[in-house]
Amino acid sequence: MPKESREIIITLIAGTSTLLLLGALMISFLFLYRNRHRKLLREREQLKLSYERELLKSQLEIQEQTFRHISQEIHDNIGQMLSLAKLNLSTMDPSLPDNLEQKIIDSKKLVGQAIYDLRNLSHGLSTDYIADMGLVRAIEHELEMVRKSGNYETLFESEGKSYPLDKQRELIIYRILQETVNNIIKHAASQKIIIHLHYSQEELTLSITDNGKGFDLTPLNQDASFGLGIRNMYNRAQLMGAGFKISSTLGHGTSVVLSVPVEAANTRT
Amino acid sequence: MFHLAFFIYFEMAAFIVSLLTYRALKGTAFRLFPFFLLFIVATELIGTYMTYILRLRNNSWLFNITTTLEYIFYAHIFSLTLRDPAFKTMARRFMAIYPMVVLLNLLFVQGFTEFHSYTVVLGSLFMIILCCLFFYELLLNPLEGELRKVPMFWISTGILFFHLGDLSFDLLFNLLKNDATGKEFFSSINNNLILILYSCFIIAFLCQRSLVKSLSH
Repeated sequence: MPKESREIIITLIAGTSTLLLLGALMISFLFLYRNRHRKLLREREQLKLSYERELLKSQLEIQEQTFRHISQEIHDNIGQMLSLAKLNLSTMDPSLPDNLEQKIIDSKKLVGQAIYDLRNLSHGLSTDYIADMGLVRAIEHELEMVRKSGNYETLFESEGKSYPLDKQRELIIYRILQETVNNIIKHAASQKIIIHLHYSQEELTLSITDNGKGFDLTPLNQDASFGLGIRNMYNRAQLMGAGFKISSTLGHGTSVVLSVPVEAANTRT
Repeated sequence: MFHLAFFIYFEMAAFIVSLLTYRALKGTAFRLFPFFLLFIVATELIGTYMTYILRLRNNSWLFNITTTLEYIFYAHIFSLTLRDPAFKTMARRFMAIYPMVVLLNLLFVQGFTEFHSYTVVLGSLFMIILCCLFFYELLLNPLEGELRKVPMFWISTGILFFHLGDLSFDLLFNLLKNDATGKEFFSSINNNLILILYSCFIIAFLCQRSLVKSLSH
Protein backbone atom coordinates (compact mmCIF):
# COMPACT_ATOMS: atom_id res chain seq x y z
CA MET A 1 0.00 0.00 0.00
CA PRO A 2 1.47 3.41 -0.93
CA LYS A 3 2.53 5.63 1.94
CA GLU A 4 0.11 8.40 0.98
CA SER A 5 -2.81 5.98 0.84
CA ARG A 6 -1.85 4.58 4.25
CA GLU A 7 -1.80 8.05 5.75
CA ILE A 8 -5.22 8.83 4.34
CA ILE A 9 -6.64 5.62 5.76
CA ILE A 10 -5.11 6.33 9.17
CA THR A 11 -6.61 9.83 9.07
CA LEU A 12 -9.95 8.34 8.07
CA ILE A 13 -9.86 5.79 10.90
CA ALA A 14 -8.80 8.40 13.46
CA GLY A 15 -11.40 10.92 12.29
CA THR A 16 -14.24 8.43 12.13
CA SER A 17 -13.35 6.84 15.49
CA THR A 18 -13.12 10.24 17.20
CA LEU A 19 -16.42 11.42 15.82
CA LEU A 20 -18.19 8.15 16.65
CA LEU A 21 -16.74 8.24 20.14
CA LEU A 22 -18.02 11.76 20.49
CA GLY A 23 -21.47 10.57 19.45
CA ALA A 24 -21.34 7.69 21.94
CA LEU A 25 -20.28 10.08 24.71
CA MET A 26 -23.12 12.40 23.83
CA ILE A 27 -25.70 9.61 24.03
CA SER A 28 -24.19 8.25 27.27
CA PHE A 29 -24.29 11.71 28.81
CA LEU A 30 -27.92 12.06 27.78
CA PHE A 31 -28.81 8.75 29.46
CA LEU A 32 -26.81 9.59 32.56
CA TYR A 33 -28.25 13.06 32.91
CA ARG A 34 -31.83 11.90 32.42
CA ASN A 35 -31.43 9.03 34.86
CA ARG A 36 -29.98 11.32 37.50
CA HIS A 37 -32.62 13.92 36.95
CA ARG A 38 -35.40 11.35 37.15
CA LYS A 39 -33.90 9.95 40.34
CA LEU A 40 -33.75 13.43 41.83
CA LEU A 41 -37.35 14.11 40.89
CA ARG A 42 -38.43 10.77 42.36
CA GLU A 43 -36.65 11.61 45.61
CA ARG A 44 -38.25 15.04 45.69
CA GLU A 45 -41.63 13.46 45.07
CA GLN A 46 -41.02 10.99 47.88
CA LEU A 47 -40.03 13.83 50.22
CA LYS A 48 -43.19 15.69 49.30
CA LEU A 49 -45.25 12.57 49.97
CA SER A 50 -43.69 11.98 53.36
CA TYR A 51 -44.18 15.66 54.17
CA GLU A 52 -47.85 15.38 53.30
CA ARG A 53 -48.10 12.18 55.33
CA GLU A 54 -46.57 13.89 58.34
CA LEU A 55 -48.86 16.84 57.86
CA LEU A 56 -51.89 14.60 57.88
CA LYS A 57 -50.57 12.79 60.94
CA SER A 58 -50.04 16.12 62.70
CA GLN A 59 -53.59 17.16 61.88
CA LEU A 60 -54.96 13.92 63.26
CA GLU A 61 -52.87 14.19 66.42
CA ILE A 62 -54.00 17.77 67.00
CA GLN A 63 -57.58 16.66 66.51
CA GLU A 64 -57.10 13.76 68.91
CA GLN A 65 -55.57 16.08 71.50
CA THR A 66 -58.45 18.51 71.04
CA PHE A 67 -61.04 15.79 71.54
CA ARG A 68 -59.21 14.54 74.62
CA HIS A 69 -59.23 18.06 76.03
CA ILE A 70 -62.90 18.55 75.20
CA SER A 71 -63.90 15.28 76.81
CA GLN A 72 -61.90 16.20 79.91
CA GLU A 73 -63.38 19.67 79.99
CA ILE A 74 -66.95 18.37 79.66
CA HIS A 75 -66.39 15.76 82.33
CA ASP A 76 -64.46 17.83 84.86
CA ASN A 77 -65.86 21.27 84.35
CA ILE A 78 -69.06 21.70 82.38
CA GLY A 79 -70.52 18.42 83.62
CA GLN A 80 -69.79 19.41 87.22
CA MET A 81 -71.39 22.81 86.78
CA LEU A 82 -74.52 21.39 85.19
CA SER A 83 -74.79 18.68 87.87
CA LEU A 84 -74.53 21.36 90.50
CA ALA A 85 -77.17 23.44 88.75
CA LYS A 86 -79.42 20.37 88.58
CA LEU A 87 -78.83 19.71 92.27
CA ASN A 88 -79.76 23.31 93.06
CA LEU A 89 -82.95 23.02 91.04
CA SER A 90 -83.96 19.69 92.52
CA THR A 91 -83.39 20.86 96.09
CA MET A 92 -85.46 24.03 95.73
CA ASP A 93 -88.02 24.41 98.41
CA PRO A 94 -90.85 26.87 97.63
CA SER A 95 -91.54 27.21 101.37
CA LEU A 96 -88.14 28.93 101.85
CA PRO A 97 -88.23 32.00 99.54
CA ASP A 98 -84.82 33.41 100.61
CA ASN A 99 -83.08 30.13 99.97
CA LEU A 100 -85.07 29.70 96.73
CA GLU A 101 -83.90 33.02 95.33
CA GLN A 102 -80.26 32.27 96.12
CA LYS A 103 -80.51 28.87 94.50
CA ILE A 104 -82.02 30.39 91.34
CA ILE A 105 -79.20 32.97 91.19
CA ASP A 106 -76.55 30.26 91.71
CA SER A 107 -78.13 27.99 89.10
CA LYS A 108 -78.27 30.86 86.58
CA LYS A 109 -74.60 31.59 87.23
CA LEU A 110 -73.65 27.92 86.82
CA VAL A 111 -75.65 27.50 83.60
CA GLY A 112 -74.22 30.80 82.28
CA GLN A 113 -70.67 29.65 83.02
CA ALA A 114 -71.36 26.27 81.41
CA ILE A 115 -72.65 28.04 78.28
CA TYR A 116 -69.55 30.27 78.22
CA ASP A 117 -67.19 27.30 78.58
CA LEU A 118 -69.09 25.36 75.93
CA ARG A 119 -68.77 28.28 73.53
CA ASN A 120 -65.03 28.40 74.19
CA LEU A 121 -64.79 24.69 73.59
CA SER A 122 -66.68 24.90 70.32
CA HIS A 123 -64.00 27.26 68.96
CA GLY A 124 -61.45 24.55 69.43
CA LEU A 125 -63.58 22.00 67.61
CA SER A 126 -62.88 23.46 64.20
CA THR A 127 -59.98 21.62 62.57
CA ASP A 128 -58.79 24.87 61.02
CA TYR A 129 -58.65 26.81 64.24
CA ILE A 130 -54.87 27.20 64.05
CA ALA A 131 -55.16 28.69 60.59
CA ASP A 132 -58.10 30.81 61.70
CA MET A 133 -56.58 32.27 64.83
CA GLY A 134 -52.92 32.25 63.77
CA LEU A 135 -49.92 30.66 65.43
CA VAL A 136 -49.51 33.21 68.25
CA ARG A 137 -53.14 33.01 69.31
CA ALA A 138 -53.11 29.19 69.04
CA ILE A 139 -50.08 29.01 71.34
CA GLU A 140 -51.77 31.36 73.83
CA HIS A 141 -54.88 29.17 73.70
CA GLU A 142 -52.81 26.03 74.34
CA LEU A 143 -51.07 27.66 77.30
CA GLU A 144 -54.38 28.89 78.67
CA MET A 145 -55.64 25.33 78.76
CA VAL A 146 -52.49 24.18 80.57
CA ARG A 147 -52.75 27.03 83.03
CA LYS A 148 -56.41 26.22 83.71
CA SER A 149 -55.36 22.87 85.10
CA GLY A 150 -53.87 24.85 87.98
CA ASN A 151 -50.63 22.86 88.10
CA TYR A 152 -48.46 25.10 85.97
CA GLU A 153 -47.27 28.61 85.79
CA THR A 154 -46.96 29.61 82.16
CA LEU A 155 -45.22 32.46 80.39
CA PHE A 156 -45.48 33.35 76.74
CA GLU A 157 -43.36 35.97 75.02
CA SER A 158 -43.49 36.94 71.36
CA GLU A 159 -40.66 39.07 70.05
CA GLY A 160 -40.43 40.82 66.68
CA LYS A 161 -43.16 41.68 64.21
CA SER A 162 -45.20 38.54 63.66
CA TYR A 163 -45.88 37.36 60.10
CA PRO A 164 -47.98 34.48 58.88
CA LEU A 165 -46.29 31.33 57.63
CA ASP A 166 -48.07 28.97 55.30
CA LYS A 167 -50.89 27.00 56.91
CA GLN A 168 -49.14 23.63 56.73
CA ARG A 169 -45.97 24.84 58.39
CA GLU A 170 -47.88 26.58 61.18
CA LEU A 171 -49.73 23.34 61.79
CA ILE A 172 -46.49 21.35 62.12
CA ILE A 173 -44.93 24.00 64.40
CA TYR A 174 -48.04 23.95 66.56
CA ARG A 175 -48.02 20.16 66.72
CA ILE A 176 -44.35 20.13 67.79
CA LEU A 177 -45.22 22.64 70.50
CA GLN A 178 -48.20 20.57 71.61
CA GLU A 179 -46.09 17.40 71.74
CA THR A 180 -43.38 19.18 73.76
CA VAL A 181 -45.92 20.57 76.23
CA ASN A 182 -47.45 17.09 76.56
CA ASN A 183 -43.99 15.67 77.31
CA ILE A 184 -43.46 18.33 79.98
CA ILE A 185 -46.81 17.50 81.57
CA LYS A 186 -46.15 13.74 81.45
CA HIS A 187 -42.49 13.50 82.38
CA ALA A 188 -40.86 16.76 83.48
CA ALA A 189 -42.43 17.30 86.90
CA SER A 190 -42.02 21.03 86.41
CA GLN A 191 -44.00 23.98 87.69
CA LYS A 192 -43.16 26.44 85.01
CA ILE A 193 -43.45 26.41 81.20
CA ILE A 194 -41.91 29.28 79.23
CA ILE A 195 -42.57 29.72 75.54
CA HIS A 196 -40.65 32.22 73.52
CA LEU A 197 -41.44 33.05 69.92
CA HIS A 198 -39.00 35.19 67.98
CA TYR A 199 -39.82 36.52 64.55
CA SER A 200 -36.82 37.77 62.61
CA GLN A 201 -36.27 38.43 58.91
CA GLU A 202 -34.29 35.22 58.49
CA GLU A 203 -36.14 32.78 60.68
CA LEU A 204 -38.84 32.10 63.17
CA THR A 205 -37.54 30.65 66.42
CA LEU A 206 -39.73 28.88 68.91
CA SER A 207 -38.28 27.85 72.24
CA ILE A 208 -40.07 25.90 74.93
CA THR A 209 -38.40 25.69 78.33
CA ASP A 210 -39.40 24.03 81.58
CA ASN A 211 -37.87 23.98 85.04
CA GLY A 212 -38.47 20.27 85.59
CA LYS A 213 -36.17 17.39 86.44
CA GLY A 214 -34.52 17.22 83.03
CA PHE A 215 -33.25 14.01 81.46
CA ASP A 216 -30.17 12.34 80.06
CA LEU A 217 -29.97 12.79 76.29
CA THR A 218 -27.27 10.13 75.77
CA PRO A 219 -29.68 7.21 75.08
CA LEU A 220 -31.15 9.26 72.22
CA ASN A 221 -27.96 8.68 70.25
CA GLN A 222 -27.64 5.03 71.24
CA ASP A 223 -31.08 3.46 71.37
CA ALA A 224 -33.32 3.92 68.35
CA SER A 225 -36.42 3.01 70.32
CA PHE A 226 -35.73 5.66 72.96
CA GLY A 227 -37.45 9.01 72.58
CA LEU A 228 -39.63 8.13 69.60
CA GLY A 229 -41.68 11.28 70.17
CA ILE A 230 -38.54 13.43 70.07
CA ARG A 231 -37.33 11.69 66.91
CA ASN A 232 -40.73 12.27 65.37
CA MET A 233 -40.52 15.98 66.16
CA TYR A 234 -37.00 16.09 64.74
CA ASN A 235 -38.13 14.41 61.48
CA ARG A 236 -41.05 16.77 61.12
CA ALA A 237 -38.79 19.77 61.63
CA GLN A 238 -36.41 18.41 59.00
CA LEU A 239 -39.21 17.88 56.50
CA MET A 240 -40.01 21.59 56.60
CA GLY A 241 -36.32 22.52 56.45
CA ALA A 242 -36.24 23.66 60.08
CA GLY A 243 -33.64 23.09 62.78
CA PHE A 244 -34.60 21.20 65.94
CA LYS A 245 -32.42 21.31 69.02
CA ILE A 246 -33.04 19.84 72.41
CA SER A 247 -30.91 20.44 75.49
CA SER A 248 -31.46 19.18 79.00
CA THR A 249 -29.65 19.26 82.32
CA LEU A 250 -30.59 16.87 85.08
CA GLY A 251 -32.37 18.79 87.81
CA HIS A 252 -32.52 22.01 85.83
CA GLY A 253 -35.10 21.39 83.14
CA THR A 254 -35.23 20.99 79.40
CA SER A 255 -35.25 23.35 76.46
CA VAL A 256 -36.48 22.67 72.93
CA VAL A 257 -35.63 25.12 70.15
CA LEU A 258 -37.20 25.01 66.70
CA SER A 259 -35.78 27.34 64.02
CA VAL A 260 -37.80 27.69 60.83
CA PRO A 261 -36.02 29.60 58.05
CA VAL A 262 -38.40 32.17 56.60
CA GLU A 263 -37.37 31.37 53.02
CA ALA A 264 -38.08 27.67 53.50
CA ALA A 265 -41.27 28.48 55.33
CA ASN A 266 -42.63 30.57 52.50
CA THR A 267 -41.37 28.73 49.46
CA ARG A 268 -41.85 25.07 50.31
CA THR A 269 -45.14 23.48 49.39
CA MET B 1 -28.29 -12.48 -11.38
CA PHE B 2 -26.29 -9.94 -9.40
CA HIS B 3 -25.21 -10.00 -5.83
CA LEU B 4 -26.90 -7.51 -3.45
CA ALA B 5 -24.88 -5.79 -0.75
CA PHE B 6 -25.73 -6.93 2.76
CA PHE B 7 -26.87 -3.49 3.92
CA ILE B 8 -29.58 -3.40 1.23
CA TYR B 9 -31.32 -6.26 3.04
CA PHE B 10 -31.33 -4.08 6.15
CA GLU B 11 -32.88 -1.23 4.21
CA MET B 12 -35.51 -3.65 2.92
CA ALA B 13 -36.11 -4.92 6.43
CA ALA B 14 -36.60 -1.34 7.65
CA PHE B 15 -39.06 -0.75 4.80
CA ILE B 16 -41.02 -3.93 5.63
CA VAL B 17 -41.14 -3.06 9.35
CA SER B 18 -42.32 0.45 8.48
CA LEU B 19 -45.12 -1.10 6.41
CA LEU B 20 -46.06 -3.54 9.17
CA THR B 21 -46.16 -0.75 11.76
CA TYR B 22 -47.75 1.76 9.43
CA ARG B 23 -50.93 1.99 11.51
CA ALA B 24 -48.82 3.25 14.41
CA LEU B 25 -46.82 5.62 12.20
CA LYS B 26 -49.92 7.08 10.59
CA GLY B 27 -50.81 10.47 11.98
CA THR B 28 -47.30 10.98 13.42
CA ALA B 29 -44.16 12.72 12.18
CA PHE B 30 -43.00 9.34 10.85
CA ARG B 31 -45.91 8.70 8.48
CA LEU B 32 -43.76 9.30 5.35
CA PHE B 33 -41.10 6.79 6.38
CA PRO B 34 -42.45 3.83 4.36
CA PHE B 35 -42.43 5.96 1.17
CA PHE B 36 -38.97 7.28 1.96
CA LEU B 37 -37.62 3.79 2.63
CA LEU B 38 -39.23 2.48 -0.55
CA PHE B 39 -37.44 5.24 -2.41
CA ILE B 40 -34.13 4.37 -0.72
CA VAL B 41 -34.48 0.66 -1.51
CA ALA B 42 -35.44 1.45 -5.11
CA THR B 43 -32.42 3.74 -5.48
CA GLU B 44 -30.07 1.11 -4.10
CA LEU B 45 -31.51 -1.51 -6.46
CA ILE B 46 -31.32 0.81 -9.47
CA GLY B 47 -27.76 1.81 -8.49
CA THR B 48 -26.71 -1.81 -8.20
CA TYR B 49 -28.44 -2.65 -11.50
CA MET B 50 -26.66 0.23 -13.23
CA THR B 51 -23.28 -0.83 -11.89
CA TYR B 52 -23.46 -4.61 -12.26
CA ILE B 53 -25.86 -5.19 -15.17
CA LEU B 54 -25.57 -2.09 -17.30
CA ARG B 55 -21.89 -1.76 -16.37
CA LEU B 56 -22.24 2.01 -16.10
CA ARG B 57 -19.15 3.44 -14.43
CA ASN B 58 -20.80 6.57 -13.07
CA ASN B 59 -24.03 6.63 -11.14
CA SER B 60 -23.21 9.75 -9.13
CA TRP B 61 -26.22 11.67 -10.46
CA LEU B 62 -28.54 9.08 -8.92
CA PHE B 63 -26.92 9.36 -5.48
CA ASN B 64 -26.73 13.16 -5.77
CA ILE B 65 -30.51 13.21 -6.03
CA THR B 66 -30.99 10.54 -3.34
CA THR B 67 -28.72 12.12 -0.73
CA THR B 68 -30.28 15.55 -1.29
CA LEU B 69 -33.78 14.16 -0.82
CA GLU B 70 -32.56 12.15 2.16
CA TYR B 71 -31.34 15.29 3.95
CA ILE B 72 -34.55 17.12 3.12
CA PHE B 73 -36.58 14.22 4.49
CA TYR B 74 -34.60 14.06 7.75
CA ALA B 75 -34.87 17.84 8.15
CA HIS B 76 -38.64 17.49 7.61
CA ILE B 77 -38.83 14.88 10.40
CA PHE B 78 -36.88 17.19 12.72
CA SER B 79 -39.04 20.18 11.79
CA LEU B 80 -42.02 18.15 13.02
CA THR B 81 -40.46 16.74 16.17
CA LEU B 82 -38.37 19.62 17.52
CA ARG B 83 -40.34 21.77 19.94
CA ASP B 84 -38.54 25.09 19.95
CA PRO B 85 -40.04 27.28 17.19
CA ALA B 86 -36.55 28.64 16.39
CA PHE B 87 -35.22 25.10 15.84
CA LYS B 88 -38.25 24.22 13.72
CA THR B 89 -37.70 27.27 11.57
CA MET B 90 -34.04 26.36 11.22
CA ALA B 91 -34.96 22.88 9.92
CA ARG B 92 -37.58 24.31 7.55
CA ARG B 93 -35.14 26.87 6.17
CA PHE B 94 -32.62 24.12 5.59
CA MET B 95 -35.25 22.20 3.60
CA ALA B 96 -35.79 25.24 1.37
CA ILE B 97 -32.19 26.38 0.97
CA TYR B 98 -30.31 23.09 0.78
CA PRO B 99 -31.59 21.91 -2.66
CA MET B 100 -30.65 25.28 -4.10
CA VAL B 101 -27.14 25.05 -2.65
CA VAL B 102 -26.79 21.52 -4.08
CA LEU B 103 -27.96 22.74 -7.47
CA LEU B 104 -25.49 25.63 -7.41
CA ASN B 105 -22.74 23.21 -6.42
CA LEU B 106 -23.60 20.83 -9.25
CA LEU B 107 -23.93 23.64 -11.78
CA PHE B 108 -20.87 25.66 -10.95
CA VAL B 109 -18.51 23.72 -8.68
CA GLN B 110 -18.47 19.92 -8.75
CA GLY B 111 -20.57 19.21 -11.83
CA PHE B 112 -23.42 16.73 -12.40
CA THR B 113 -21.15 13.79 -13.09
CA GLU B 114 -19.32 14.14 -9.79
CA PHE B 115 -20.57 13.12 -6.33
CA HIS B 116 -21.56 16.36 -4.54
CA SER B 117 -19.24 15.79 -1.59
CA TYR B 118 -19.08 19.48 -0.54
CA THR B 119 -22.82 19.79 -0.09
CA VAL B 120 -22.92 16.33 1.50
CA VAL B 121 -20.50 17.59 4.17
CA LEU B 122 -22.75 20.60 4.66
CA GLY B 123 -25.84 18.37 4.88
CA SER B 124 -24.12 15.96 7.29
CA LEU B 125 -23.05 18.81 9.55
CA PHE B 126 -26.57 20.14 9.57
CA MET B 127 -28.00 16.71 10.39
CA ILE B 128 -25.55 16.44 13.32
CA ILE B 129 -26.67 19.88 14.53
CA LEU B 130 -30.36 18.89 14.29
CA CYS B 131 -29.66 15.69 16.25
CA CYS B 132 -27.84 17.70 18.92
CA LEU B 133 -30.77 20.12 19.12
CA PHE B 134 -33.15 17.19 19.57
CA PHE B 135 -30.94 15.74 22.35
CA TYR B 136 -30.74 19.18 23.93
CA GLU B 137 -34.54 19.29 24.05
CA LEU B 138 -34.54 15.80 25.59
CA LEU B 139 -32.23 17.12 28.30
CA LEU B 140 -34.63 19.95 29.02
CA ASN B 141 -37.62 17.59 29.32
CA PRO B 142 -36.24 14.62 31.22
CA LEU B 143 -39.63 13.48 32.45
CA GLU B 144 -41.01 12.23 29.17
CA GLY B 145 -40.81 8.49 29.57
CA GLU B 146 -37.85 6.21 29.22
CA LEU B 147 -35.35 7.29 26.59
CA ARG B 148 -35.10 3.85 25.05
CA LYS B 149 -38.82 3.88 24.37
CA VAL B 150 -38.82 7.24 22.56
CA PRO B 151 -38.98 6.55 18.76
CA MET B 152 -37.37 9.85 17.77
CA PHE B 153 -34.44 9.16 20.09
CA TRP B 154 -33.61 6.07 17.99
CA ILE B 155 -34.08 7.89 14.71
CA SER B 156 -31.81 10.73 15.90
CA THR B 157 -29.22 8.27 17.24
CA GLY B 158 -29.12 6.47 13.89
CA ILE B 159 -28.83 9.71 11.93
CA LEU B 160 -26.19 11.07 14.30
CA PHE B 161 -23.93 8.00 14.16
CA PHE B 162 -24.33 7.63 10.42
CA HIS B 163 -23.37 11.22 9.68
CA LEU B 164 -20.62 11.39 12.29
CA GLY B 165 -19.11 8.25 10.79
CA ASP B 166 -19.48 9.47 7.22
CA LEU B 167 -18.16 12.95 7.84
CA SER B 168 -14.46 12.02 7.75
CA PHE B 169 -14.88 10.27 4.41
CA ASP B 170 -16.87 13.14 2.94
CA LEU B 171 -14.18 15.58 4.06
CA LEU B 172 -11.46 13.40 2.53
CA PHE B 173 -13.54 12.51 -0.54
CA ASN B 174 -11.33 14.30 -3.06
CA LEU B 175 -8.26 12.53 -1.74
CA LEU B 176 -9.97 9.16 -1.58
CA LYS B 177 -11.84 9.08 -4.90
CA ASN B 178 -8.80 7.83 -6.82
CA ASP B 179 -7.56 5.58 -4.03
CA ALA B 180 -9.04 2.09 -4.41
CA THR B 181 -7.83 0.88 -0.99
CA GLY B 182 -9.17 3.95 0.75
CA LYS B 183 -12.51 3.63 -1.01
CA GLU B 184 -12.78 -0.03 -0.12
CA PHE B 185 -11.93 0.76 3.46
CA PHE B 186 -14.53 3.47 3.60
CA SER B 187 -17.13 1.13 2.08
CA SER B 188 -16.73 -1.28 4.97
CA ILE B 189 -17.18 1.55 7.50
CA ASN B 190 -20.10 2.99 5.57
CA ASN B 191 -21.86 -0.36 5.24
CA ASN B 192 -21.70 -0.85 9.00
CA LEU B 193 -23.01 2.65 9.58
CA ILE B 194 -25.93 1.88 7.27
CA LEU B 195 -26.68 -1.20 9.38
CA ILE B 196 -26.70 0.98 12.52
CA LEU B 197 -28.89 3.61 10.84
CA TYR B 198 -31.56 1.22 9.60
CA SER B 199 -31.48 -0.89 12.78
CA CYS B 200 -32.22 2.30 14.69
CA PHE B 201 -35.11 3.04 12.33
CA ILE B 202 -36.50 -0.47 12.88
CA ILE B 203 -36.27 -0.01 16.68
CA ALA B 204 -37.97 3.39 16.36
CA PHE B 205 -40.90 1.91 14.41
CA LEU B 206 -41.34 -0.88 16.94
CA CYS B 207 -41.18 1.65 19.80
CA GLN B 208 -43.82 3.73 18.07
CA ARG B 209 -46.04 0.67 17.74
CA SER B 210 -45.74 -0.26 21.42
CA LEU B 211 -46.31 3.39 22.34
CA VAL B 212 -49.55 3.47 20.36
CA LYS B 213 -50.56 0.10 21.83
CA SER B 214 -49.94 1.24 25.40
CA LEU B 215 -51.93 4.42 24.75
CA SER B 216 -54.89 2.55 23.29
CA HIS B 217 -55.08 0.11 26.24
